[in-house]
Amino acid sequence: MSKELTNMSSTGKEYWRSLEQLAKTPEFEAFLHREFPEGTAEGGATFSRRNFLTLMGASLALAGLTSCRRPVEKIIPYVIAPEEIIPGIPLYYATSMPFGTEAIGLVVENHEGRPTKLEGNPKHPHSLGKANTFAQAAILDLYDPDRSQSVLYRGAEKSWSEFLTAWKALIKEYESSDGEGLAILSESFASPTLARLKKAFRQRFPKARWATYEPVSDENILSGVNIAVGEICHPVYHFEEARVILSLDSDFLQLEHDNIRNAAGFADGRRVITQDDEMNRLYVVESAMTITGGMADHRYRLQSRRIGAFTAALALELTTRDVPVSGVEALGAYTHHPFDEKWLGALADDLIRNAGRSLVVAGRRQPAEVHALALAINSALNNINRTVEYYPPGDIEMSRQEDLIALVQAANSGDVTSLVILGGNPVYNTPVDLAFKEAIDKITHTVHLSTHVDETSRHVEWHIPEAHFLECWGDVHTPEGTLSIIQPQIEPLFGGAKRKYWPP
Amino acid sequence: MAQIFPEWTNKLPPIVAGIVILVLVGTVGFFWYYGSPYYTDVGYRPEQPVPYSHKLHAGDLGLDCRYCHTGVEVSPVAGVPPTQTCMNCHVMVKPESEKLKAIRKSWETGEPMEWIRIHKVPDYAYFDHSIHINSQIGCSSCHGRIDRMEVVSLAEPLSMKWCLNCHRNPAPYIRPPGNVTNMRWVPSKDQLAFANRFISEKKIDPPTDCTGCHR
Ligand code: HEC
Ligand code: HEC
Ligand code: HEC
Ligand code: HEC
Ligand code: HEC
Repeated sequence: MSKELTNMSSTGKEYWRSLEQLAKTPEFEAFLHREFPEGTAEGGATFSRRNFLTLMGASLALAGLTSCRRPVEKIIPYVIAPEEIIPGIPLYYATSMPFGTEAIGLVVENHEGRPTKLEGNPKHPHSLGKANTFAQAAILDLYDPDRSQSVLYRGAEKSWSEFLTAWKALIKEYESSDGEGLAILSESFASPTLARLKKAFRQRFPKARWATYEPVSDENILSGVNIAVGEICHPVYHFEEARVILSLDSDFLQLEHDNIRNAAGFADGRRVITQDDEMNRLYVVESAMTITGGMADHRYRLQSRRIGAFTAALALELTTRDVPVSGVEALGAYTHHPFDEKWLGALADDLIRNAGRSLVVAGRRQPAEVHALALAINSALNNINRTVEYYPPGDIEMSRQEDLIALVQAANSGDVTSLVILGGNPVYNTPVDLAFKEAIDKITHTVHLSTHVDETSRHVEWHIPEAHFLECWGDVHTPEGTLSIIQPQIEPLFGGAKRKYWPP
Repeated sequence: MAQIFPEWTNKLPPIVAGIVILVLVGTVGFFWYYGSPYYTDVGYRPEQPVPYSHKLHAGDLGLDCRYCHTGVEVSPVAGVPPTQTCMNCHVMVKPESEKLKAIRKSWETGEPMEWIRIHKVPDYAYFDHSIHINSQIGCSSCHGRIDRMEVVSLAEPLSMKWCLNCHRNPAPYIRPPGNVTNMRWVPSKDQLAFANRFISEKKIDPPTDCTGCHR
């Protein structure tokens, strides 16, 4: 048989089942001549296959009987019963979930001190009693057995106090140099407390670097707004007010910032209760099918990279219909566009007909220019402060790629001697071209705080387990400034875990 | 020509059929009975870490069940008392007793006691104490004469048939107020009249549809 297999090539077309066979490696030749693959026991001297099957058959037959015995189960009461807990009746606590720069207000179902279910807090203006997939899944994260469980020094377990000793000695060196050579790489956050701590850090180490990076962020949106109005602002959409909505590659119902409120607002605008109510109309231009695309009344398939051109064509189309979009001159003279004339024309008409009650949203994935243009269109259609509002981000810490690039350059030129990474997994999720991994290897002292031992943890000196948001105190606010408290539901499950806000 | 099979072989098929049927019925019957809660569960009385006696505490000392099983009126689970409850008395009573060693150890170390569960409804069925207690069903209807038990044992099979027997006709078990934990309660002569009045007043309607318990 093996001969046939290897000599098949003599006549006809040559077929092969693996690269090894094609290359005729010696391992493959050896493999062909063996009946069983390596690692399979071929009936040792004491235990034949038949014997094995006989015994297994008998044990299987008897295994059924063991189920007749009752499994022993324990009832474990408290030693001292906490006053407010009645076993069997869950308690509900309010907390909020920080998610990027978002704040999702939650109510946690807590059984005898163990959180079991997260739902939206009806009193929180950003979750309105609902939660999204990320909030629902966060409870699984809490109990994830793969969570990092102890402090590691170059991969070896160390105690928290050993880290503190090392850290205190290290930070002393930077006191005298005002933090020269010290750098922080943080995840984005919208927490007044963290912002205050950052300020305190800045004051103590004025020469230290600070970079904030998040692989998925609203950076493009904010810089788009900056291009358009010269000020960094966060858009907050009111889908409930909009009659006609155009989404430019924006999955605002599931993946964009504030998707819970977006979905609630969209549903409100779509709901028909009396015969006088009208439904909103959703136009979606996108490259892949999303939840939002699935809700579209009119969906236009377009490569992601051509959405900018589509937006420009729309702006020019609106301008020809006496709705001048500011900045449109920069796009040049309008002759023609390669998009569906009828679709685009109808869309422009519909937007104009509903001026002041329409909304154009662009997705995170689109470059800043598309966002600037979307703002200009909304402005031309008189939608601003009706269906979309802009808020200055205040002390929200936002992802900025240029800071990350500067940090990597400084590390490469030896200007960074210590780096503290607060959350995230930059070795894995920074752009490859940046060669973050190589840069971090050049830094003498590195500390990484994260929930899991991940790619980054393997490239650092110290790894520190991070507490889950259900395990620590904190605070977070929304773009409009609603403050909410993060209340711990349980002590950190894994002894080593320290909260982000450790005592100074 | 001689017959290949002697004459008695004519009877072989019915005999074989008879044996097969006997074996089948026997096997089914065996598992039917010995696999059922009546055999496997009723009378189950595991050894507990502390030889705690309901006969002494609930019977002779007359402690109310709710002194220890505090959740029973409000919660799905009755619960077993915390170590603290035992220590309320046993710091004074028999503080040196050998039998209470585990309790003292738990009190000193803060490690909880581990009692062995006796009453158990499978996870796929839902049971709630509070609704039964609030419908004036007494503990002894389901747990038997706990006040006479040195060691708690399973008095009822807790099978589905058993649950449904009462759910279809709860009247004989409904007690006048204040008797839920009374172990010596016996129905009075006008029990049915009282119960029927209670059932219609309070709109007692135990579920008999599958989703009532298998939710
Ligand atoms: C002094 C406290 C105390 C009092 C009073 C008390 N119990 Fe208990 N009960 C316990 C403890 C402790 C256990 C667990 C150990 C055991 O099963 O014996 C228990 C177990 C039980 C169980 C078995 C639980 C299981 O594992 O399934 C039942 C049923 C029960 N009690 C019913 C009663 C009833 C009915 C009364 C009132 C007549 C009562 N108890 C009064 C302390 C008490
Ligand atoms: C109301 C007070 C009280 C409470 C509460 C109480 N006990 Fe007792 N316990 C007693 C008394 C009284 C005795 C009998 C002492 C005697 O025999 O002289 C006793 C005896 C005992 C004994 C037998 C001791 C021996 O050496 O003979 C055990 C075991 C025991 N209790 C366990 C418990 C456990 C377990 C709890 C908690 C679930 C508990 N008790 C709660 C009052 C109490
Ligand atoms: C309608 C029947 C019924 C009545 C009435 C009842 N129980 Fe139970 N009890 C059960 C069943 C069924 C279980 C098993 C529950 C389970 O597995 O979740 C149980 C379990 C228990 C347990 C074990 C711990 C737990 O909470 O699961 C205790 C203790 C208990 N009962 C005490 C009491 C006391 C005290 C009363 C009276 C006040 C009472 N029960 C009344 C049916 C009953
Ligand atoms: C001795 C009588 C009795 C027994 C035994 C009994 N029940 Fe019930 N059960 C009742 C009564 C009475 C109600 C009605 C409550 C009402 O409608 O207010 C009830 C209600 C219920 C409910 C409805 C609760 C709700 O929230 O709607 C469930 C579930 C239930 N029983 C489960 C069980 C199970 C499971 C068993 C067996 C392990 C069982 N019961 C055994 C009398 C009994
Ligand atoms: C009063 C509550 C109650 C209702 C109503 C009820 N069940 Fe059950 N059921 C139980 C309990 C309790 C058990 C577990 C019995 C045991 O442990 O042996 C059970 C067990 C079962 C089992 C597993 C069989 C076994 O012996 O292990 C099946 C199947 C089942 N029920 C089906 C149903 C169907 C179908 C219905 C509707 C016609 C129904 N049940 C209605 C309480 C109920």
